[in-house]
Amino acid sequence: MAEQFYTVASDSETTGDDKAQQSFPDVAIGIDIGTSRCSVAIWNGHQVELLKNTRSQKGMRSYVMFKDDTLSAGVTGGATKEHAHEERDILSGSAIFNMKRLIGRMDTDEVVQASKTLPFLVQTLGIGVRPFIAALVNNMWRSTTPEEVLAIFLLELKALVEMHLKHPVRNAVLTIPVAFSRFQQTRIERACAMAGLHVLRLMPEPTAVALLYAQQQQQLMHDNMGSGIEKIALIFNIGAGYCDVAVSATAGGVSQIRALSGCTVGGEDILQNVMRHLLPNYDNLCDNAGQTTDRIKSMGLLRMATQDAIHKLASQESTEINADLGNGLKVCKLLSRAEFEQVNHVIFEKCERIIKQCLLDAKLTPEDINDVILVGGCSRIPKIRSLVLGLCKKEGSYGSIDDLEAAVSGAALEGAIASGVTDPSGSLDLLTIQVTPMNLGIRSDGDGFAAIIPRNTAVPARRDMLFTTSQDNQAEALVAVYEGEGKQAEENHLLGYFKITGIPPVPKGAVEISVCMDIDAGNVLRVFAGVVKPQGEATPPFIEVRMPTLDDGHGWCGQALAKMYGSKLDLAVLPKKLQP
Amino acid sequence: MPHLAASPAAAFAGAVAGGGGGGRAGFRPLPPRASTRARASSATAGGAARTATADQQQKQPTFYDLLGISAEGSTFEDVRAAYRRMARKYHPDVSPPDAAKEHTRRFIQVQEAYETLSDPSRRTTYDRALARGVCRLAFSPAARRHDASAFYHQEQEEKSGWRTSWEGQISELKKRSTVKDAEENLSWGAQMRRRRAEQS
Repeated sequence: MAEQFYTVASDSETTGDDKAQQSFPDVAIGIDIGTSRCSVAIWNGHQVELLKNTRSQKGMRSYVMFKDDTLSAGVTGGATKEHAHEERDILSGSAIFNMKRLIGRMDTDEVVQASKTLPFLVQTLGIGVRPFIAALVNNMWRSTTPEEVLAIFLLELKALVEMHLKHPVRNAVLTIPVAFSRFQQTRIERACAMAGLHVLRLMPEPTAVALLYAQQQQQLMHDNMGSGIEKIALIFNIGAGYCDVAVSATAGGVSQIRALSGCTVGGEDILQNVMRHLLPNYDNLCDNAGQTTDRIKSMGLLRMATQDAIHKLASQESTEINADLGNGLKVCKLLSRAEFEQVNHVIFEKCERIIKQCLLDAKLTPEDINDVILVGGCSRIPKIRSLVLGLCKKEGSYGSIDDLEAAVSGAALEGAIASGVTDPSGSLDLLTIQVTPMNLGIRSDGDGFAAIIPRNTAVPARRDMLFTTSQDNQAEALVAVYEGEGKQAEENHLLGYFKITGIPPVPKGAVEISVCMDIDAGNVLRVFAGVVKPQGEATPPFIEVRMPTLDDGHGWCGQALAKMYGSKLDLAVLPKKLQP
Repeated sequence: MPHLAASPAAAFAGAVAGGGGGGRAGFRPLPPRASTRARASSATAGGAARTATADQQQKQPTFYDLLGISAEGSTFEDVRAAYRRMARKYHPDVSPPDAAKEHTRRFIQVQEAYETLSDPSRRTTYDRALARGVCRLAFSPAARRHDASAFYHQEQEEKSGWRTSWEGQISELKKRSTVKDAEENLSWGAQMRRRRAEQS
């Protein structure tokens, strides 16, 4: 992996056109790019196989090391060095990691703000543009982007697979967090395009686990000639960057996702909370001292000591932390599990909230759940286990799934299924029915948000809704498309906007404007809009727009539109009394 | 509330039929069919509209047809099993590439059928409409708009949904409708009122 770091195979932002044609002969591989670890799996003709790198690791660190003119990712990086050494190198300022947390986020985002404590440069202006990210190379900051970093280790993962299969691969199924916005999804697709990979599907992580579970259930049925009774599973996934929940109904090899919920909370937040607890002036140290080599070294050492302590607390009641951070800074503390749980109680509450939300959305009670599946690195934290099991009123969790390998295995299964592979033994006789994780709709009635495709709608989907004008003789209307859970448009994520023009001059409320949203098999969102009443010769044609249209997740575009046009271009949900 | 009114854009059934990206032509509303809305919305009042919409309905598959089950005696489990069977047939993940578009369209229809028939209250409403032979065509935009606005006006929907069915029941009561299964579909309150009305 010395020379070609990455090649930009396609500069186009849109990969949807080739998404439609699924005639690629090769079988899509499964990739799990985690915040801290990544892995790759293939369908080897009989079963899913996780590939190992030269150091026999299946889960490889997600980072890219910048050194002189060479870049190397965690897949192959640091070939034979000792673990501690490598960790120190990673935290020396010359490696970039945690990019899954930063991808597609603007510098006003609190997740980006919190990332300024990472041991490399994350510079923000706080105006809603991309953060500036750089690695230390020969005492100079060298800029990069989250997409570039992801592309580099995607390229290494691709090379690993190609070496194993001895033929080139092109298609991939990637797992993503439930909380990823559509804009973030386009960034992942972009990183894949840079690495020469075509995204066949993006699967929320717990749904990939659900598919693996469906396969296991199907297998059990074949073995025991058991009945095809539907089983409800709650899958809880918490990694370093994100936390997701899915409720699935499984029978006859069909894994139907009933509800999804997720949030940007994970091991990184737990780590930061504990570091802040261990070193009371932690924030001062991070923010004021600037990004000096000394400070990066101190933060790296603290990070390592804290990480170690958290791992120990999974099996011990308390642990002692002794770390010399240099510059006279020392941390000597006995950390108990109770203290650890107290420091992170907000995180545990968030986990609780999304589980409850997910059950509510699925219209199920804890009693309906047959199996609770815990996956992700942080699911090993005792408090998280007890919390999830407690909410689901279960004694234990489902045991036949590897908590770190399940997501990537599910992605490889979906890769094989969506590539049209069939297996004589029936082990690919599976189907996953996915749902939308967030409401999709448009701005209407002032700053309101009208959800046209509500969250947890099965995809592919097509829904429409009627709107009308808010002014007399209004000739144009703005269709501003948002994604999110807020009741106000501005609380949500702006995906794009366009105008409907040539509306006939009639009193307000007299026209009917239809806005239709369509999500196709490849999860591409299209919005169709136009005047349906009154009809006449002069009625302009409908407009079809592929979303998102915004290059960046610029939240302030929405505000600028409101400032520029006020209510002149407003749409309103068509009230019933105006309908004949 | 908009979702419960029978739809103005009846032609949008054509939009669904149009499928994915290529559906633009089918998306253009067809003025003659748009007029069915007036009949549909006056459906509870009965009259001449009834026969007109009923004729149209003959050509439309019902949700039961879509899932390949019979309207009578199919249980919740039957609906779910049928849905899974149809999903395995039409879901784009498992359909041959050349039929993906058509299958996607069918999957969306099957999904709608499943969502309606697996929800006891929506199934009751749908069955009632079917029994009267009016109102809800399988793909009437009214049905779909009902889903779409569910989030936006959830509370109002519940109220007005209740009111609409109540009004419908009252009008039936007034007409001394002889539809056999009307009794069990009536709310408890409406049954009491009917009983009182019959006594007086």
